[in-house]
Amino acid sequence: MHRWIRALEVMVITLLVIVSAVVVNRLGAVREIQAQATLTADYHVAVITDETASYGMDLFVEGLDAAGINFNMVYEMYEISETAIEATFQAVSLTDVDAVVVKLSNNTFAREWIQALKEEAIFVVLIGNDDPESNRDVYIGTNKYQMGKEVATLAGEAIDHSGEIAVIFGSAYNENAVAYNHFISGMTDIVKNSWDLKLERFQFSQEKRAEVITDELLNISDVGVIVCTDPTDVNRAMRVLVDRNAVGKVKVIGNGLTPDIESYIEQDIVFASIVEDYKELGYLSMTYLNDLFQGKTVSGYVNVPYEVIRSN
Amino acid sequence: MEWILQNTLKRKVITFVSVILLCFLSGFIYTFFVTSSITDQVDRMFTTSQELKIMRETMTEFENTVDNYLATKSSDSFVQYLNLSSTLNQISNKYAYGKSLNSAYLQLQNISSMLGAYTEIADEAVAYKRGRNTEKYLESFAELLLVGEQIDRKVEAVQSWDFSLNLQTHQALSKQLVTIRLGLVSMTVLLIILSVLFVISFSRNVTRPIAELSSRVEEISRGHYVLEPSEEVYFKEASVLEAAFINMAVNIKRYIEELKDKVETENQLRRSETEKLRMENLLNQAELMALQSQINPHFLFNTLNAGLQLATIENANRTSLFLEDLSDMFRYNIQKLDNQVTVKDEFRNAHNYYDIMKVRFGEALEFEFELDHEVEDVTMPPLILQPLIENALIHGFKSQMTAGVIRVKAYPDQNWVLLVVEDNGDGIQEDVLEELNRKTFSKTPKGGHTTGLGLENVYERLKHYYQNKCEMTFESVYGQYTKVILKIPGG
Repeated sequence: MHRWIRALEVMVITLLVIVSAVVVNRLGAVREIQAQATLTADYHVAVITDETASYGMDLFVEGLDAAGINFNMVYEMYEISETAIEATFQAVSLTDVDAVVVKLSNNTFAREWIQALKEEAIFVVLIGNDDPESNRDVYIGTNKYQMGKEVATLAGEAIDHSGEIAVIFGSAYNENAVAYNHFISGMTDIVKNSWDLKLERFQFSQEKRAEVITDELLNISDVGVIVCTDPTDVNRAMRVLVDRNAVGKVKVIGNGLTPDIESYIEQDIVFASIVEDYKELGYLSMTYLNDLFQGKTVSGYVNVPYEVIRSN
Repeated sequence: MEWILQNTLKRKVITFVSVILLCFLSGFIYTFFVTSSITDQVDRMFTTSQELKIMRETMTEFENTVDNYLATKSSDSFVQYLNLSSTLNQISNKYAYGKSLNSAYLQLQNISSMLGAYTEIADEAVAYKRGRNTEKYLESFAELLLVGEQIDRKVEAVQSWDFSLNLQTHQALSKQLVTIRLGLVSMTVLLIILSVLFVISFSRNVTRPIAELSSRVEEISRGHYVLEPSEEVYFKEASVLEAAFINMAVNIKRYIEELKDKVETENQLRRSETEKLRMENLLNQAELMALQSQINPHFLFNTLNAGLQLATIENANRTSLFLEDLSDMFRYNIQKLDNQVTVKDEFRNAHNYYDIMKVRFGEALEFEFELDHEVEDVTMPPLILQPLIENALIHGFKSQMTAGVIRVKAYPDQNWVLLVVEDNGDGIQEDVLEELNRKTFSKTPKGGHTTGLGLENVYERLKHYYQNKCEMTFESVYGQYTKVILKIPGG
């Protein structure tokens, strides 16, 4: 009896200690959220972009996050519209950042402000489309001219080099941007060598939703292939093709490799997809900035290769 | 304060009460700590928003003050401007969190940087005003307002972040509160259970030794005085009580045993005294008989001396020797029976007796003496052998027509001395022999003895002398021989 009581006492005391530890731990878990304030990074980077949430942007942010952890850098995202671009750059300048990553659909628009940042000895990396005159430190992006040629070749192949090619540009492209021009140039150089291929219709999903654009394109009998530069637009275009019972009749060249697009390619509904490594773009931007912080010499132009995914 | 060092009941009671109080006090303090911690966290959730609100109000006042100073250049405005500038710099320093990995704190760091620039621009505007550079101070003031707007946007962003963080904290807190509440309830229940266990344990510790003591009282009342000490140690008073009780039981047991011994000793003493009285009675009887027979010896001594002188005058040598032997034997016989003689003395007396009997019986009687030198000086009571020889002479040769032989021997046997009187006479009938070996001498006839001492007297005197460490056995074959063997301690 006496031993039982002693054993029970020990058990109850043990339970008390465990319960106390659990409660303190729970309190600590809440306190931990605020305790993060004490953790600091070595460098502060501002990322300025006009791109809305997209497949490419999500991957780009993933790359930034991974590199931020690796190099102990913290970044803050400034999403701007054209009208607020000046105020944004001014704010970035006032916040004593160490570097700025500019990922606008047309980085040329920010040339003046990039130059101002450079005068303040702030490192600048351009993503997606280049503007050497801005005095940026590094440009990282895909060779859009080469990619335009690749897309046009695939489009011609999809429709046996006969028919019209239509292009729906996503938020990463701007009509006045160099990248856009390079992409169109690449496509044009392929199309001009083929008598039966036409390249005349360029639409922007930022101005009109991809479903509306696709619907309009289907009314034009000559359109045999639709090229989408944004994975979201691929899904939207496919939805209309299914509704209009035009799957197979009008081919699609996609962009990116979402599970949906992968599935479309496996079913041969999407002819091919150009996969740009957006995550690599994000990661490399931070990597090159880290090299610059360390005083290393880096290349001013960094090409990130793309990949073509086809059913065969 | 000695009780603190000892396991006393007082210490036990104070410890018990202290432990119970400590349990509940720790429970109370712990609950207080947990609730305080939660309240602090809830308070902290809104601190940043409140501070930012105050900062924005200060900035508005600061801009108005600068504007007023630029317009009026009044010293009051300037003093107020300096005060507000100092306040804003303090806020700027407070929010200098560095390149924090936490978004909200990073934004606060941004505000800190922007506030620094904000006050610097204001300083420039004031300096230009003092330098009467109108164009520049207006330009600086416009820039001040622009930066102010930037800060406003940042504050909005931070408030948004802060709200997000607060929401996150609140959600986490709400989620954890369920566990915390459950934990506190569990702790209260466990504390109550622990207190109950302590009470049971304590009451058992206090009552158990008393219960054990009462069961021991019952054992003693049933006559069990051997008590084992308890294996468990409760408290000093219980141990003292138990030790005292066990000692008491041991003392009672010893006292009872002593009483038993005493009674036994008294009984033995009483038996011994009875025996002694019986022996004294026997001696008295013997001495009475001896006294009765002393009437004759006095007369006989005188007569025998007269006869001895007459025999000497008449040259009757044999008669002279006879009378001398007779005189010696009488002298030996009338000595006190509690005297101490040697085996050699007994043999000499036996020899005198033989010489006298030889005159009487002539060739019809033959004695053989064998005395081992080793046992000559062994002490023994007097008149032991003579009654045995007389017995052999009287009873052994009643119907003998031929010469009888009486053999008297003394020799050592390990640590003993054996005295043997053996005759080749009639022997003893079996039933009489058995009675003799059972030491039932009442029926044995003792008439005709010179000393008047029978076998019983001889046996009892031997027992008394040797304190029962002696033996007397009879061996006989009817019609052939009789042997009396005395076994006495050898020196």
